[in-house]
Amino acid sequence: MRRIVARVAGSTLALAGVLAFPLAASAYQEAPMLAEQVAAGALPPVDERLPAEPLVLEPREAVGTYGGELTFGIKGMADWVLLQRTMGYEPLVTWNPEWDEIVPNIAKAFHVNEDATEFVFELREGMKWSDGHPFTADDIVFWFEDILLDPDVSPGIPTGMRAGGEPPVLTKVDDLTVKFEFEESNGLFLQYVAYARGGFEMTSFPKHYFEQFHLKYNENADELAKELGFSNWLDMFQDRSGDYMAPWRFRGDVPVLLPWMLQTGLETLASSQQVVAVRNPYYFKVDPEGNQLPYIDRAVYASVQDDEVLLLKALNGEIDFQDRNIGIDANRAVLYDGQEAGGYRFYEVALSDMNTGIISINQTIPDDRKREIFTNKDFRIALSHAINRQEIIDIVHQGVGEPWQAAPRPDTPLYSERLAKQYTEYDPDLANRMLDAILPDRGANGMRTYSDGTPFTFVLEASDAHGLRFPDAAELVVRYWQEVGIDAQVRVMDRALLDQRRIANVQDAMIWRGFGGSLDAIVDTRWYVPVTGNSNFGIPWTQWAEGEAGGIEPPQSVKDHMAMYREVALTPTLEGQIEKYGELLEVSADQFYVFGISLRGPGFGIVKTDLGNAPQVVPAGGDILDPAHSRLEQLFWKN
Amino acid sequence: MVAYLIRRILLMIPTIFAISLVAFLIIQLPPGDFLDGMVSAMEADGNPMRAEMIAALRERYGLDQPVFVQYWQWITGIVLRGDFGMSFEWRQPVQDLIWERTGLTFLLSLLTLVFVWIVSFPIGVYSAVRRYSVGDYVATFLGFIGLAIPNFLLALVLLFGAYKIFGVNLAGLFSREYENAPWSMGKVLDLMAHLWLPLIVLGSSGIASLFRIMRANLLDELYKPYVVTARAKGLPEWKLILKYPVRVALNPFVSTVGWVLPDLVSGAVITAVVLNLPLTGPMLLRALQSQDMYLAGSFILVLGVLTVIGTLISDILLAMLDPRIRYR
Repeated sequence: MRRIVARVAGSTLALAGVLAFPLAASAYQEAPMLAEQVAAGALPPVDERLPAEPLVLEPREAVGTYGGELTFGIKGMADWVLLQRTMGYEPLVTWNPEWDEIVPNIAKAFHVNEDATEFVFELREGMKWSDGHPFTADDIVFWFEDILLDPDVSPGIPTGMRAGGEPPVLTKVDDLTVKFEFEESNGLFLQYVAYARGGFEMTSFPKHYFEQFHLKYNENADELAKELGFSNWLDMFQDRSGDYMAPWRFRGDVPVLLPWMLQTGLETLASSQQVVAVRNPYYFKVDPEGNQLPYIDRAVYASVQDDEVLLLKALNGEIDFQDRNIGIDANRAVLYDGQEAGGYRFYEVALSDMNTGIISINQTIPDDRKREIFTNKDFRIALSHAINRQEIIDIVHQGVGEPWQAAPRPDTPLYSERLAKQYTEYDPDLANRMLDAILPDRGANGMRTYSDGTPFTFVLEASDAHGLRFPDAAELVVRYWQEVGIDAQVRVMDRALLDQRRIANVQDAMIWRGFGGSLDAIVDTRWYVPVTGNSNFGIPWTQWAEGEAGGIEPPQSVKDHMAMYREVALTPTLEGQIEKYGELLEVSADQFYVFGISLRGPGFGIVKTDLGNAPQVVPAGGDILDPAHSRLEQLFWKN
Repeated sequence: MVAYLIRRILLMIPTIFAISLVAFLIIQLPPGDFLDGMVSAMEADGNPMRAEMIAALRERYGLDQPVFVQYWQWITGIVLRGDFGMSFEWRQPVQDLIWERTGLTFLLSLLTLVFVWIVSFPIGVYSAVRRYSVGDYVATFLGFIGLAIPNFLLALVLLFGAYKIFGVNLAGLFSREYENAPWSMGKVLDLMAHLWLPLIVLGSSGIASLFRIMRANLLDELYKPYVVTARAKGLPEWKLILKYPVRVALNPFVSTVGWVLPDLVSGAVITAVVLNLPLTGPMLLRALQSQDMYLAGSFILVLGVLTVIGTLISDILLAMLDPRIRYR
């Protein structure tokens, strides 16, 4: 008998959810399609392919059976994130399916020291890439030294990888252990690793594959580049590593650590109507009975060019498990009616978005007179009271939701009733009284003017993005404002132009998506405290804090608020961060930088009824890779 | 005739140059560029891009250069090396992308043309000869409906009808099992089973307009004295009609050949999107939306060249038929 026991880390962040259980000697089981290959001598036996201590995944409902395909609908190459969100989430440590705890994944254990400056990850002995080559600390060192830190290969260091402005020192303790050492505390580092961008970079660059493209490891790299049609090795390396953004793992020939591996690159969608990924024979997870995961043989990504065609496919039962591009409100009724015929059911997509639209008044607008008004908190309170939120909910959002400011959702640990509900009641009289104290003069048309009689007007900029009907909501909002004498206008524009304008700091006000309503508020702070470049009410403030060009020094109260966020980052544990962030949110409520409209309702996805281990609820958001974090490798067909 | 031909061909050069310039400039008109769209889409999906990366990419893709420099590099690449540039989104050479989709597009366009001819020719002749008969009214009624309904809408209605009534999804050109399979008899049959829907949808408006033109032209001829003379001489009615007035009225059929060339590339963009057909049209649309400028610009350039060549062919045919044009 051989016992598979995961070692539990003895640090403040202990790993959880791992079972100890007995197994018969060399008793891992594999899929029939792999057993055939083993019998034919094309693959080593399953025990040699699995790491010495595979990750044991406790299935959601039951131990499954092997076979079948899992079909998704993909909207061309531009939709590559769908792959990342379904089969592409295997970082060192990951969020659990409930999105409230970070658990080991590729790393079998992790340790964090008391002041959150040292992070040690223990890898699994005998773990292999999908081509059978061992995965070791060298792969992570390769990513760190030759990709992340090389300014030619990947310019700039992401914020999550910096503490005190500096990247960490990475030490290869031994073949299976790496240690990140930051100069200052970086309490958010584990979250950075577990969320979308940070994690998959570290575990997606097989050194033995990529070194052929790198001059440091292959002195003929320049010649190879010429052969492949590039001007030099750097060009080739950047192309092969995806120009920092495109899905380099989805090229088809790059070894992966994922449950499935692509047979052909995603770019073949240009000429074919689907790309197919087959099971990775070296995947490192097993179920409690020792069956190697995934259960399902193939993941099929069928190309669709149009949302209506995707809807039709879903109705026809051709989509197995998906919410992306399907779960929009307009589809809800027809999909609901088609459940029986299509053989699917709904699952809830618990979006972390907390609002249907955040209105940000630019408090760093260059116009002095406007800025004086815009930075007046009473002005913003008055505008908030002037909005009839219930009417917007009824007209624009089918009656779903409740009046809500920029505040975390009610069912999350960061919820603050004051932040969520203050100034949401519709009270035009109060708004008028407050505005009379700020802009008492009115022109001939009844609209308020500056004291010298020049009209006070501003523009609310909106873009029809994210399917949230921002232009419709904005039209209603300015109508309410006009009723209290504020001459605001809506300008609808393309998203790219909107982006350019906010970065150039020329917009008066804009309406945008309510990101960060769950635990991700801690990392997506844009509507709570201006520390990243997306806080559209004061982008130059964050530039000042980063020492970038174009920065404007914020008022002392904002500086103090920014300092509070640094406190959060110094805290090593998630519980401690939640507590500190709660204090920060109270100050956000005092500052009242932006205001919201209504709480965004939950989304939905569809899943085939005979798909086993499928979730009922998938927590989702921009940062977390849903639904991949609900562990698609455990899905199986019941019949 | 030769001088006319040379003059026409020489005139094509500045025309094509102007098309390429305008195409390239129009693609650049909307605010932002490919990277702006990419970056905001990435951000919404939890993959924020660092400013340094965006700057490096802009430099690498040449997007930091003035428009005219970008244009110059693109057009000289085409003229000197036959290199249409790289598609940003697909990360492949543009000419490969366009070629990969041309085969099926060509097949579908050709089949549609033949289908339109086969259907509209007899209907046109019949409804002219039997003017104001019940058959004429029925054909005219259906024809106007075919003209009036946008193709993509017809496609959506047919798709939804097929789903509701028969429970099948007719979108696409192949069933799933044949999607990535090599060509075989089964795959050809499967293609035929899927092809009729796009044929009907794409052909509907073509049939309607062509048979109406046929009808009108034939009506002009039917009452001319030579027809009366022939009839008086005792020619059988159908032989008479097919041999004389129909031949004269056949002009629009021939001239449609000239329009077919550009259709090969742009053919029914929205319809192809709705029907999920792997043709060039949807790729062009997507390239325009994402400002994938070398791909979009090359598409439009190819379209322009094909239009110019098509016009040249029809001009030559006309010049051969009508001497007055040659000497003007």
